[in-house]
Amino acid sequence: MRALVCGCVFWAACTESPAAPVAADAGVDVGVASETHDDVVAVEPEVGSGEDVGSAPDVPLGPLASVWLENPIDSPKTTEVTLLHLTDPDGRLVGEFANVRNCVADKERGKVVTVDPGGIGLQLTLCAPDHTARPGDDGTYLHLRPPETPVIDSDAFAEVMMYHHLQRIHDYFQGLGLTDLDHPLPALVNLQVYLPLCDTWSAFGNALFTPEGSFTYAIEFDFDIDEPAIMFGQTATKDFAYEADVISHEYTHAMVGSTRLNAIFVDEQGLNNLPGALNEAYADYFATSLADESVIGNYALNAVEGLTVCGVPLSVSGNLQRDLTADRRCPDDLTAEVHADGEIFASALWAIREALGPAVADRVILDAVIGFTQATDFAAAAEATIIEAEDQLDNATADKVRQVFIDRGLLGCERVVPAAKLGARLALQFAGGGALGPGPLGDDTPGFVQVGVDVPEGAQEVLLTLQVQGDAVIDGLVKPGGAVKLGGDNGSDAVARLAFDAPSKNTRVLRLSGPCIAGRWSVLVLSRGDDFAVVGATVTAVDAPGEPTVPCGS
Amino acid sequence: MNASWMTLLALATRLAGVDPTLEAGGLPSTVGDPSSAWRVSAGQVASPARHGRIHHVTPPGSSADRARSAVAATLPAVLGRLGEATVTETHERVAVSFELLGPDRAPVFERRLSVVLDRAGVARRVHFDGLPVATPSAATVRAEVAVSAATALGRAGDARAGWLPLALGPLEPVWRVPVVVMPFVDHRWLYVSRVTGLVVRSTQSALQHREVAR
Repeated sequence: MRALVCGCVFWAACTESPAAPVAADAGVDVGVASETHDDVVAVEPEVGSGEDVGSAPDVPLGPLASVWLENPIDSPKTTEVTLLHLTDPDGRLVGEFANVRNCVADKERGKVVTVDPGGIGLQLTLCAPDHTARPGDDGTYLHLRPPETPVIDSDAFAEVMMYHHLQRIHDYFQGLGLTDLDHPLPALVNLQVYLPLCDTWSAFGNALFTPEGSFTYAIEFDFDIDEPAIMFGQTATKDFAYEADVISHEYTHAMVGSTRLNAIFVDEQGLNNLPGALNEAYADYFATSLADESVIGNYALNAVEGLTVCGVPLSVSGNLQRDLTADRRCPDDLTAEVHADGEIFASALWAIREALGPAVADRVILDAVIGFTQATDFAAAAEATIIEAEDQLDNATADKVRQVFIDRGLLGCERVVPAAKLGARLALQFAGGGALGPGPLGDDTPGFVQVGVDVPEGAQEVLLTLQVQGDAVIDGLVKPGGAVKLGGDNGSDAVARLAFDAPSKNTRVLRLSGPCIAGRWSVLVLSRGDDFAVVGATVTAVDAPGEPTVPCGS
Repeated sequence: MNASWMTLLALATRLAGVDPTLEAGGLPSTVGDPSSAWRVSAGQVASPARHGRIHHVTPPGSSADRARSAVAATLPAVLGRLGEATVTETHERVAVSFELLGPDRAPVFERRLSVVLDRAGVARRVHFDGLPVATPSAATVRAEVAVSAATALGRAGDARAGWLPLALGPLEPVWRVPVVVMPFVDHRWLYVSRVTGLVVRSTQSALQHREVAR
């Protein structure tokens, strides 16, 4: 199997949550919680799936543990639960459906690897996977408590959180009839790397699903895991394994996104990475549906510290939660970043849940997604969901589902983003030239989205100015009206190919000029230089137009 | 382009079905508008839709057998390219997802075609990304066969990368194979789909073109 490391929870995140998870809709009974003392809520053993609740021998109290039902913010009191499906006779957190290990900061046992960013050749020591959570003398895991203060460590409580919530999301899918992961999924918590350069263990503030064979390709961080797995990191203030939604998100990638929805391909509008956005959308949807609240990442993804290596920041930081009730539409909210673009589709799925109810919506949505291939994108996914609603429910309900997708522009969306929206949420990434190999575009690499330019009535020249980061060498295929379409005898239906000027390091300017240019134009950016990002764009009218760049009658 | 992007794109390209061992250059083989109708390549791959609803009552058998029956009915040209099947079940649906085989019968596309059955075994939906790529040498061989079968004139040369728009919608990645009809005097081109490995278009020869133009 070919594989790609994917499914990091960035960009993602959340807000308020209910007091207890609601999974009965999915056929999973999670028991009834009752508060017993200041910081612990007791809950009846979970029996929903009918599984044997633990089989460790000589365990008088059973495999009880304290966990946060949501996260330290939304459910600050821990709750007693029974760890289900355990099979290891020594009490390791290994069960029928999960094998949870702690990646311990141990320079002696950790594997030494070399990475080569820019020819530097850094030697790193990986944390060492180990089963550290074990039952106490009473046979329970109740002694494994969260740390008093956030710290980068190798705490066994993270293992317990991971194990418990993996069982919940597994049983939730099982309640829908899906059993593709009825085997122990490897999970690592407390992922960290020792950097001799600055004598420190570096935090990894993210979580990810790694498909089978991921480490065969490009990643040097080999933890002796070849099969699909999920890996969770931490920062000085956040442990990603402390958030149930994030665990459910990554597990959903493993369940439905491993062999589906991973392609990037070229279509007539340029590069298309919407399958990846769908992969994120479904991971968000099922995580939030299980939690019965629309936000993912209220704890883990807010006030996130970026990844820093020896003090050098390497990744984004800030408030990255995702709220599925947010108003997102295609194409205006497209960013070409899969998590952010996934919010558009996930918001539709959440609206369908609100319209149909959780149980019915989950069923219809899951029955649609299991048929998807690697290159299914927004329109295909929406249509499949409508078909399932028609087939399983009725036409009136299917019409509601259709309307949800129509309201968000998800049927027949042309990927043309108004200039004013470019970079508004996230920098828009462009691949450099030569990314596609031989083709009609030569060394040109088209963008994921096109730029919409509105030329006011009476204007005879406008400047499209892009604020860029990186050495952008770009041209624009321009066309009045809808998206520029690649193909045809001329390579596209554009009326002109115009070069962007580079008046400064961080600006690129395209001059659209002619006596009849009023109205909407689409610009397909073709990249010939290095990778770059667009962080903003403006369209300005010019009072004294120069030579026309596009003909009348275009 | 920085290394990380190159790596990512290379990986993505692999996922999109291009096996570097088969094709240098890394051109994604999946080009298409997912909402478009099935591709029709010169009548050789006549398929009704790339994804969408079907209602095919399948014969008894395993889910994979039923799915193959549905593919035979809706995408006959693909049937010979089906590899290993993976079955995913829910309470209401059974999705059968196939590996697709390349020209050398090796699986080069993972899970690029799936058939969704209901619990009664009726095929309800099909999702199809496209077929494995044809190698340049396979394209040349294919063109040679086509030339021989059609006119017995000419000789196919080395295939060159190209793209071809097939009706409305997607760009089709093709191999352009020059066919020398008469050395130094006349030639024409055959276009072999990288996706299907089939000859999808044949240009007139230069001499024929002049005849028509006159």
